[in-house]
Amino acid sequence: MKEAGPVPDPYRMNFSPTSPDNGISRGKAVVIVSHDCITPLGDGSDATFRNALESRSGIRRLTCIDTDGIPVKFGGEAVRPDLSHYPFLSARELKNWFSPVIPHALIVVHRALRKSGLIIDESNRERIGMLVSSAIGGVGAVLAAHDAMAAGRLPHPFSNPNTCLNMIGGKAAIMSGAGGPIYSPVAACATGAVSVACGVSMIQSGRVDAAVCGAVDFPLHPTILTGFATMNGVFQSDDPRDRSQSAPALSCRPFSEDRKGFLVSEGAAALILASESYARAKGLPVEGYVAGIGMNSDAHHFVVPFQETITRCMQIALDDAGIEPGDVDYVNAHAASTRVGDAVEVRALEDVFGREARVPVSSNKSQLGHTMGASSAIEIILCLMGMKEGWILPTINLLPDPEFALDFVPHKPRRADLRYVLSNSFGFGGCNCCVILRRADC
Amino acid sequence: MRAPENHRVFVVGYAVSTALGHGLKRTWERALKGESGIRRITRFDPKEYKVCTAGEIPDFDPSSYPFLTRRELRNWHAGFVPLTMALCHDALADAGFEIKEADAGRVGAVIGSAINGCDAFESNLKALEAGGANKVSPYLLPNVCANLPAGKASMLVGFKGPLFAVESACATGNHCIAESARIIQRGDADAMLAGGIELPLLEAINCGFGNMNATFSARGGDRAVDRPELGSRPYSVDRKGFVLAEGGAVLVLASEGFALRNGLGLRAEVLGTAMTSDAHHFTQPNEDAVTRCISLCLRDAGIDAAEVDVINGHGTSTVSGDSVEVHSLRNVFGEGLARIPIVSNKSQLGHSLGAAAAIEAVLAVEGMKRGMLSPTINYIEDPESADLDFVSEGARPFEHRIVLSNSFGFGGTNCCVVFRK
Repeated sequence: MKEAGPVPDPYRMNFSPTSPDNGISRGKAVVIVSHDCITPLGDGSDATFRNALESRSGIRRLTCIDTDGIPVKFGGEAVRPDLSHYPFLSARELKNWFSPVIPHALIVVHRALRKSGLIIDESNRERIGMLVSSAIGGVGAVLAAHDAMAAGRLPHPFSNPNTCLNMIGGKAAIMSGAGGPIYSPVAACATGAVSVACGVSMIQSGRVDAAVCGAVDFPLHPTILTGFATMNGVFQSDDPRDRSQSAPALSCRPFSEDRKGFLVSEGAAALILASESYARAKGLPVEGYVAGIGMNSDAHHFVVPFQETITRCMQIALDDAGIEPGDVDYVNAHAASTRVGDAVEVRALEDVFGREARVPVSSNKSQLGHTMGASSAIEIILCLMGMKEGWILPTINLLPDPEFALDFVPHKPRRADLRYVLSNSFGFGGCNCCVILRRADC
Repeated sequence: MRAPENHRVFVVGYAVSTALGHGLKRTWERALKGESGIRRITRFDPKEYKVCTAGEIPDFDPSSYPFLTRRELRNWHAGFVPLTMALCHDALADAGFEIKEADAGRVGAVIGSAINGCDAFESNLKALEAGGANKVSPYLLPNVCANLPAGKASMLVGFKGPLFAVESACATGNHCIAESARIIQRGDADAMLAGGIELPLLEAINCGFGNMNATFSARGGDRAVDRPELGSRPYSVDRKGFVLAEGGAVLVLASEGFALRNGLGLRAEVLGTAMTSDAHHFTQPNEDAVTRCISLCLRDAGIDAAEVDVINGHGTSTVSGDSVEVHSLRNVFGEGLARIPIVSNKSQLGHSLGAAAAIEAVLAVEGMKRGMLSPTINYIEDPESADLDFVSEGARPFEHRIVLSNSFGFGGTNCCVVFRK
């Protein structure tokens, strides 16, 4: 085997270790330098967090599509940014890139980069990765192409590029100039967290200095909603006695005794990750550390989560971070809001933290609904903001389930000193990803 | 974070399904004979569409797999789900690797696709239009979910390690191999199933690519007008776009230690990987980023350009795509390029988008193992690359130890992998 150049690089693919840790006792520290999101609670991370602190809900009767004839009436429509503020979104661009995932991804990436102060230029562009992804992507474009052909017309020439999942990152790379590794990791409802995990791996292996991570989903389409309804995943009660009949927001109630499925929402989130040394050298802000990652799969059922493997996933993340369950100050739950999904997560949390666990657990989905692939990225952002400002966001609409003994931080936010936070996400197909964050100053 | 453990990573088994046949044996035999898998489309009626030819897997028979019951196929009606299950099953069998419960948490998968389960979307949309909401399958959403095929495979063969899909259009297969290798290298898994699966033959997709002028359309006096098998012609002077194809490949990768402990045969080492982004145009390739990707890959592998024995080209078959690839190869290899055989499997198989790079990786490793190069068929010399060796005369016995496999996708996504025998 060839020698590894003048300076041995222990992160190279073919570097063969002579000692188990190559003299490196810890992986490179990875920090999050900035973030931005668009959610049903607000246009921007700050607006979303402020409204969440007010215990508000982003769930309403849907108006962006006609829900006549489909069984889903409620959901979370993202607060739309004013597209005319962004010179890169010309009328022509918006006409070609008609799938909403693309302009919204561009906006959150643009704003997150601006907040970070990271200037991408010839000196660093090759060392910046692009991993922004989506769970559902631009499927609306396929449906539009299908409709056009059914009506005897040719599909829009941009139909296929709009459908192509990695085009989201591709367009963001063209806009920002990022020229390092690019691809779209997809793991259903865990997509945003897996994007962060892939960014961490890339930075840790020395392939890039910084990475743009995150996910975007705009899934409010009648066919998609009907699909979720026929699989009984989504809330669709028209029971006149249901408490949501007077207020649609009450339909979204993870961990509640009367939970009946998730609410489909729109969202976009971008996080800029960097190695700590790069961030310090460039004077970039540090919003928090990624302290540990756990990823595994269930090998069990295509939608029902599995207690043994999600327990294991949390433990892998704790081991990676080198901490004990008792070090975790708050758990940001996945909270699928389905009957079985929440029950399995609660049991797994009891397995990891003990049956008498007093660690606070809450669900941002109670306020935002389920933004699919974007949800775990948005939840990581809200964790970072909560750590920084000393707040745990609430689980709203909670009607306690006598089966669950955990502290769900019901109804109102709570002041807390958060050093380590665990954010869970579990996707269809049995893709699990747990992320442990550490506050910037500890 | 734990420190990376830096394991060496090896290919220990694989399975493919291509337009030349389901299974490596048929694909390899027909490839060596110089055959083409391109024919008139039968998956739907191509009518008088601009593009009427494609590469279809001729002989995938789900009923030959006992786990693909009729009920399972009805539920999992996006074609990429059962094909992924079959190929994961076959790849493990090829490796002689049975996943034991004790190892399950240390075996994962990164398998992707470019088009994913769009076929399920189309059929359910028709059902919704024809019969209303109750006709939409409860399995629709899981069927279109990119990571679900690997999820179904995990339930079938029992791995419980890291699992996700990676999407990067036509480079998906290589990105999946590269990320899987990194996961093993870092020590987050001992073995991974890596690959790409693509069943893109839908009317709307076919016409969409046609309207982009990306795919080959036989018109005028073209030599392929009555002979579809002549349509896929990477690097040729008369190339006019790629021929869409079905296909899939799954490779089993393992750390050196795990492979040796479990008696798995080492077929090739994943010696180097690299990824770059064009940040340039959404379909036009970019010479700087492609050149950089190839160079970074050689650097990651710790080898000089002169040590590369064979190049498995991307060979996208568009006028500018092949030209940019050849220029980039010249930038990296200089004069030495003329002595390195360049093989394009797409000349025989068409372009199976997200699966292409994974199939090409399998054929590259198999070629090293057997000391054979499959040919680049349909090649008519382009004066621009007259000095280069595209193995256009037919299959060639050739002992070789190091192969560079290129792949470049829409959206400006590039990934190269170097394998060593």
